[in-house]
Amino acid sequence: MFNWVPHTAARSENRGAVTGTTSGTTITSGGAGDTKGSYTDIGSTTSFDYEWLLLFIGNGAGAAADDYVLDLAINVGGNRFIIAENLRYCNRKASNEQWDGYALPLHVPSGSQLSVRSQAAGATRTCEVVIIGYSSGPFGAPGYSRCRAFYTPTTSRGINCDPGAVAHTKTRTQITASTTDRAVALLVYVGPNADVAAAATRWLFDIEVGGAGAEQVLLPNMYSGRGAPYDMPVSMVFGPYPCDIPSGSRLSVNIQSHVTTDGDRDVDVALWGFVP
Amino acid sequence: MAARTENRGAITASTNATTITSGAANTKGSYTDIGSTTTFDYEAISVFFGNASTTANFVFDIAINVGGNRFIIAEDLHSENLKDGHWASYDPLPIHVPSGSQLSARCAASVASATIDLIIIGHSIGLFGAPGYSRCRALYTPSSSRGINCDPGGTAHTKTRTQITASTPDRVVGLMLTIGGGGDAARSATGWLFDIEAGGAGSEQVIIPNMFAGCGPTCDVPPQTVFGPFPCDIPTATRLACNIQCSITTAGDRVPDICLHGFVP
Repeated sequence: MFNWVPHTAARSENRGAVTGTTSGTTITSGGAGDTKGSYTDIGSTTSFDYEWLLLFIGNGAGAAADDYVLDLAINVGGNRFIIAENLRYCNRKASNEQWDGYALPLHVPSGSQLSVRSQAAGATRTCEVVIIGYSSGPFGAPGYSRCRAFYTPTTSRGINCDPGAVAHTKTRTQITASTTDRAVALLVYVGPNADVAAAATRWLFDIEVGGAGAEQVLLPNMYSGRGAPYDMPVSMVFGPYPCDIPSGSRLSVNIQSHVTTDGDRDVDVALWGFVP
Repeated sequence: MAARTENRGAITASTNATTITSGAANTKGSYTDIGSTTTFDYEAISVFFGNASTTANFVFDIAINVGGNRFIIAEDLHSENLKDGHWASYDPLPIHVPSGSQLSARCAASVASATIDLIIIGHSIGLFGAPGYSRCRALYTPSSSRGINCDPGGTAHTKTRTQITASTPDRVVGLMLTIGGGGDAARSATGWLFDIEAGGAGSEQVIIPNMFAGCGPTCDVPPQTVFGPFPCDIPTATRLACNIQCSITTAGDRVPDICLHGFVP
């Protein structure tokens, strides 16, 4: 059982903001496409235990349009440990366009050095990161141990989910054949799957758990869409949602679209689970 | 932590959601029921919205109707749709909804008789297995169906403070923030760092330090607009403010609007 904190007031502190230039800390992807770069420290070490953190990703000035995935790690006593892996950031439309924010119910010990590394579809792309840490989570809850990716990034994005050529009819795509851990909260990212010249598009999609042919709906008919001039979903981070998904579970997305144009109708989906 | 879920408002035959229509400009329209009554107690709801009929700013209320009494459980949630194609979500909101409730929504928009489509997913427990709070109060008064314009001023990288509310109406234990384009939908690339603060003028205390947001010259308004809820414990009658700096100094472009909401235990 959790050791619940009997109040909800929280300390907070920022790591990574660069107030002199109104920007975040710059992270550079690897020297080759789809390859992680080196870790960059995000500010100084944490001054108290975090039980909740908010991670903002934006691209500031000069970064290229691209797909990214990022790892958030902590370093305590010389051991680096990834606490959130392959967080997705889609800045596919143009440079200086997308800002995303992830609410992450994670425990970070006091005295940790936060660091981030990234990969992008292109080489040596940059984005910027800011982190705000909280001494308790919502409801006064303690944070989970880590956030595991329940997908394998493809070209630094999520799994392509094609609703198929029949409008208003769902088509299922497996996101992972087997989750690596039990997860008690689920995080979702829905990106444009590299298509940023699309007609106005709406989607309804279920997140499901279970073997092929025996899927159970976890999240029914989530709703998203896109339209000109941005051409991609503006708000791509969903959750985290309460759940209890055993280790070894198959996860899938069952999606329908109101358009049938190949490419325009597709999304890419990334899922993560919080490990207690 | 396992939770039942159910959807209210999805229209699968047209891949769409339930349409709600605003009244005269900046005036709430009538309530529209969102699906059938709830079949179990919700302890959290996820609200998805988009597909607006026109470019406009919207604020909308989520209400429940039990035994003939309608009660607003989330007031003046904001949709920044001053550019086309803006879908967003409040997910999940830690709010309790009794089984058998009829969910409904109404909206105001900066353009008369504008429509927006809305879906609600109910969760039988909240994150961490927690029960929901009683309601989500707006800690601002909408202006032109958006939040309070916060002008960082004519000096780049220097903070300027704007009051969001002089006095909160309730004690709140979760704080949620929505950022919008401040009524400007044709701007240069812009980055912001901003603090949310509590306290009287001249003695503000930072609750959320240096949140990071921005937008570019294609989207022209902040892409992700909803952040939180954040843990807090803010007494009733508290003054809240936003202290913001910007990477550019262009009048209009440098100004976002900020909405704050608080969860009442």
